Amino acid sequence: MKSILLDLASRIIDKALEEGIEEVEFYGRWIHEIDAKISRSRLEAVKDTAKIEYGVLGAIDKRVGSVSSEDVGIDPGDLVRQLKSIIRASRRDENWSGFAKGYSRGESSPGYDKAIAEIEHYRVAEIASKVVEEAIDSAMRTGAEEAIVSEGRYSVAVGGVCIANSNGEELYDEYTLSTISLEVKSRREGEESSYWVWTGSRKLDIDEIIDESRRGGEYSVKFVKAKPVESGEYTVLLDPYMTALFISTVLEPAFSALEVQEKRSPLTGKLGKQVVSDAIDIIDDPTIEWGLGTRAFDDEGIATSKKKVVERGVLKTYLYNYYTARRENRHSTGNGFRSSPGSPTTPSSTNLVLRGYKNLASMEDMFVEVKRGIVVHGMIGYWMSNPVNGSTQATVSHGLYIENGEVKRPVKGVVIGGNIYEWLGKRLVAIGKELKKAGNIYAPALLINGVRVAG
Amino acid sequence: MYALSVGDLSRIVRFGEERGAEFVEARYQDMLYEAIVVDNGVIRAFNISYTRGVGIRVVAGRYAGYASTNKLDLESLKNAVERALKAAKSMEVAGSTIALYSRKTVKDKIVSHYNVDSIDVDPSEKIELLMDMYKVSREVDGIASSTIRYGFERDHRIYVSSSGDYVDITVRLIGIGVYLVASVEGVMERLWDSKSRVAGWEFIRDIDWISFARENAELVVQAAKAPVVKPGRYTAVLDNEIVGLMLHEAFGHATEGDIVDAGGSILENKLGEKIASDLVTVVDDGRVEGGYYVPYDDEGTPKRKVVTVKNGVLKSYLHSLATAKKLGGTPTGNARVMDYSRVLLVRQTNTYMEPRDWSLEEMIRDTREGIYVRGKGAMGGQVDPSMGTFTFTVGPSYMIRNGEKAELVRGVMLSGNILETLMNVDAVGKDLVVHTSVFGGCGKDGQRVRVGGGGPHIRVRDLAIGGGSR
Repeated sequence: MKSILLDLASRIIDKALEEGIEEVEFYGRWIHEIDAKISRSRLEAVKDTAKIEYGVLGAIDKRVGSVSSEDVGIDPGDLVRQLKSIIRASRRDENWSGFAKGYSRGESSPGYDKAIAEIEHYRVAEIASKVVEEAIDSAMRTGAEEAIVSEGRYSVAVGGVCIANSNGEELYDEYTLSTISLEVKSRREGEESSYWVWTGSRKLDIDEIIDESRRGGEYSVKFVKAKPVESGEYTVLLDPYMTALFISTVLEPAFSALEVQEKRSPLTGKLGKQVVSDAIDIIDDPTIEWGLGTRAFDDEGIATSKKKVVERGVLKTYLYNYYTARRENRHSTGNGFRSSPGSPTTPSSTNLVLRGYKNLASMEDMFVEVKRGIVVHGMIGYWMSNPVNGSTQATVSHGLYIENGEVKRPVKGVVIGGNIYEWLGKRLVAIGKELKKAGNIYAPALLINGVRVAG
Repeated sequence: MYALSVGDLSRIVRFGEERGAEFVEARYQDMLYEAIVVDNGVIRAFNISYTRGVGIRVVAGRYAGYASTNKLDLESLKNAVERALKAAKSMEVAGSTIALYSRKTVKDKIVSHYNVDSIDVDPSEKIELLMDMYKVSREVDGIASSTIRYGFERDHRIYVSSSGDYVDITVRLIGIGVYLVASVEGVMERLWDSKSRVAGWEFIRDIDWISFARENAELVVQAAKAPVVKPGRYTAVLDNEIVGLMLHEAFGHATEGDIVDAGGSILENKLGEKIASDLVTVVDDGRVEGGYYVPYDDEGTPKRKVVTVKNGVLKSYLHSLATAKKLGGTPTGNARVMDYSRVLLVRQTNTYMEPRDWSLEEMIRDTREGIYVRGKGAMGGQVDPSMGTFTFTVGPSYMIRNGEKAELVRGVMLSGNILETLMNVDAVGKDLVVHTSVFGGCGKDGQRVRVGGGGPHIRVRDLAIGGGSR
């Protein structure tokens, strides 16, 4: 696969230069995935996918365009002709300063697990059925009279990425991926409840997979007979996974230098200023072992590096790709990532870690502090929160109502709303000691005062 | 670009049978997507992308196995069949067997209607239009950022199966959208709005996009000045777009046969039961005007108009060949995949409510205190179909006071329970409108497919409304 991509890159770049395209960038990737789909506690199907895809970006006189394809047998001449006609129709971008120079690798951390790369179909199916067993067992032990894994999947993948450009730069790397998702549905005392869990790693970590499956089982029972609470202001305890969901939706996009430059970030003009509580550090860390966002270089070949984005509540840097960095005459921070092979990069985080400095407490200690509040363990619609102004909102699907430090009953169907900068600022009471991983975000639990709740 | 022939696909299907499969299907897809993004006057992206490959499903030993490849030489295709067989074999560990509903063999070739193929239109014309839209939106006082998107998709799919089916469909979908950010006295607000159609470039030529951009820019600036809605329970008049969104999210997913079969639907075992107000009739239709065009699904089954709810009573689920067989229904043509490499899921096509007799004016006049919930600028929604909880964020909306449309409010988020909400519908309008989008669709299990939705204006009593902050 490596040689196919490298060969394709060099043939297309050469042809493009020959046809008068001044600058060219190639981004290609391959993936081989085995995926076991679960339905009502049984495997429904196993799927084996092999795919190669690539994008070619080109520029003439600061006009930029791109073509992407999955055809490895393509005639480079045909592709280049199409690319050229797109570039010609495009308009000059005065901020354009070429494709990245200085490809290199940052600190290397493990991200390729041979056990995944060489896994057999039957082993994937076995793990998927083990997951089902563990989840149901955990639900029954927690008090379910009946439990099923209604839907789920276990997937493993191995893939490679190749980046090259007409500055003579070239990089290639391979990675692996293991992800599990499942919804457990339980019945107790004539009522049903369900819970959805998801986790991913670059390594085949059976313990982590089983832990998540068990959590899914346990949480599927905990919220039976949930109902709304009355509207009003409550203290809210977000579990670490919920904190992570809000960070990825509302906070992370605001760190993008592109959003700042285009005035779509509330952090515009806030560099060096206090943006959240001084008890908080936020770190972009591409070096976490087996992290989903762990990588040695970004999607335009720039070395990634660990950096504090927020230190003691003060905004230290935005996240830059090559384009936004050149606009400010500075270096890229190695945060240029693509949504698809033919799209230009935009700045986003590698692994993003939110860590507390003071007011640290365990989840249990935070519980005790709560006079009248809701612990949130599940929500839907959080992704509709607004990164442009920091407005946060979500419907609690799995919550617990607490009075004077004691759990009174499960809660669902209430909307919590506020603003992420207030939640991480003046309304923040305590921060969890322990961080949990949710995708590429690592976050603690948060205890927040004065959250608006609509019941 | 090399296109695979039907003969090649038939050969692959035969190869699978020779290797011992009881059933084999091959799905070829060749899709083009043209995207242009004008971001504050700069062309941030101008991309044409081609997706192309073959997906195989085999049933062997009564187990289903899938494989796909985008290397289209015979050797690679045969290898994909072998991998699908291996995948099916691995199901012996703990797999469910599959049985497919046996329907009539289908042979058809369909191209959705269009006059001018957008890919043949001079790109400068497209860019000029987007630039003009950008300029007019920036002329509105208070606009901090303006992003204009153009999208065009040509999706060609061929389906061949060992049952003798051959279905060849090409659908063109086109549209333009705006993402605007207003900043007024320190308050920032955003708005996304778009219009799409199954059509060619003529759709773009027939619409006044300049007014579309200006009106949206004015709306987001007004919204930034507007107060955040006060959380609570309201009588709500929902517009066409919100009705479509709510039906799709809050109700439609729970009718999907695979979710019902998995035990993940609140509508399981409720066929024939009253689940909504008498005024509610809900339809899933692949050929409705304004919606996405689905004449056949990705199993080659003709898509028929399905009435899922008739006068408040649950009449049918949506089915694939497998769920129809398993749940005792008939295939409805709702087995769909995002692309050739994916597994079949039961998906909605265009979900809408049938109209009745109220006018919007009558509905508002009849509401003493409430909210007129608008879809323009809505961000979308989400539902937990097993619990019936739904939530979605809508566009800038209007309060209703003493039977009249009153002030604009922003940050409106609806939430509730599917069945309670449908029971609380007490007025259904006569103005049916259905929309689709080239920029989005419905996400399920990691697969996004094009859908449409709509309905008339309706009124719902006692709906929970939450609000964000500034």
